Amino acid sequence: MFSIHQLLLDLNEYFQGIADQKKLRYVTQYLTPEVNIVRASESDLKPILIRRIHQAFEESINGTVQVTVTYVAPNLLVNIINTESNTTYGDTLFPLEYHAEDQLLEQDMVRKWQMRDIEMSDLLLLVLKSILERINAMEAAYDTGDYDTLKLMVHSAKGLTGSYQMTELYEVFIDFDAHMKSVTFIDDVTADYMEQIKTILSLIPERYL
Amino acid sequence: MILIVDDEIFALDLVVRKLTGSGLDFATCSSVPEARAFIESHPDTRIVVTDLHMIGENGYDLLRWLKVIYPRIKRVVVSAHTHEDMSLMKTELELDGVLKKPIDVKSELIPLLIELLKEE
Repeated sequence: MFSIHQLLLDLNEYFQGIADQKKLRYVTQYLTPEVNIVRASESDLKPILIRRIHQAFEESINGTVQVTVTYVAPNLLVNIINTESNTTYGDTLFPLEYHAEDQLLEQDMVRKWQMRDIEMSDLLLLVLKSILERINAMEAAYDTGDYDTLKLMVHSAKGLTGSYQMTELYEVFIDFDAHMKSVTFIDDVTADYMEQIKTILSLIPERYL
Repeated sequence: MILIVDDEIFALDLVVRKLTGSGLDFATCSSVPEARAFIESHPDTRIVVTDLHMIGENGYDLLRWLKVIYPRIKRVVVSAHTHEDMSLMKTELELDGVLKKPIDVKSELIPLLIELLKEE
């Protein structure tokens, strides 16, 4: 069994520099690494009519996303995917399926961040753990009224989450940082920002923590 | 030699990974004292790229020191300040370059470094 995550990493690498790359990334934002696919031979792949990648998003129905790939992909997919599951959808779709009934977009947030820059995906997980530790330190600074420390930590977290394209966190830290610069002490608004960040972090599945 | 200074290890890791293979000769330091020591022992240092807000001595301290002691070394700031602040900073501190975090190493930092190296 191969994980679809690895497959998409392979595809993403293959698509580097060509127009379809953006479409691939767009679709992968909605995938998780838990979906597994099985091996197939090259002959299994030949009869399949492969549609364009954007169809995957367009055909998202009832919580199921069908992933199709462009015509350049089969060579990559040899020995990775079989054709059995396409009977569900007829013979015109490439047979990758993703059942998303219990997968909220928020739960897939980390995967989405990783897919934005594959090269950094391993480091991103370390950054995420570091952010969690920093939140604890920020809370300690908040509790003791240590404005200067909190201000510096928020500024640093803004830069880090931005660098690693952790958008949901970065957007809060932008406002949080601006707020910290607009005041000279810790106030109630500070607590609101801390809560916003903790809410986002609470959506991250435990496997990443 | 290009020196990158940031006390944020993950930011340094990102830059290192992106710069590796670029053909640029670079090193990193995670504090101002470490950067000073590096520069003093590496007379071939031509550009220093530094963050501003660091624990202990900060980027401003390093920039001032460089200007006085090593005026020929080009100075670049990478910071999460606003664009307006960065523009003002470039003028006031007479910097050779400013980049706003988050930066794209490949499309922003590397071209800037290459341009600065060509100017010499």
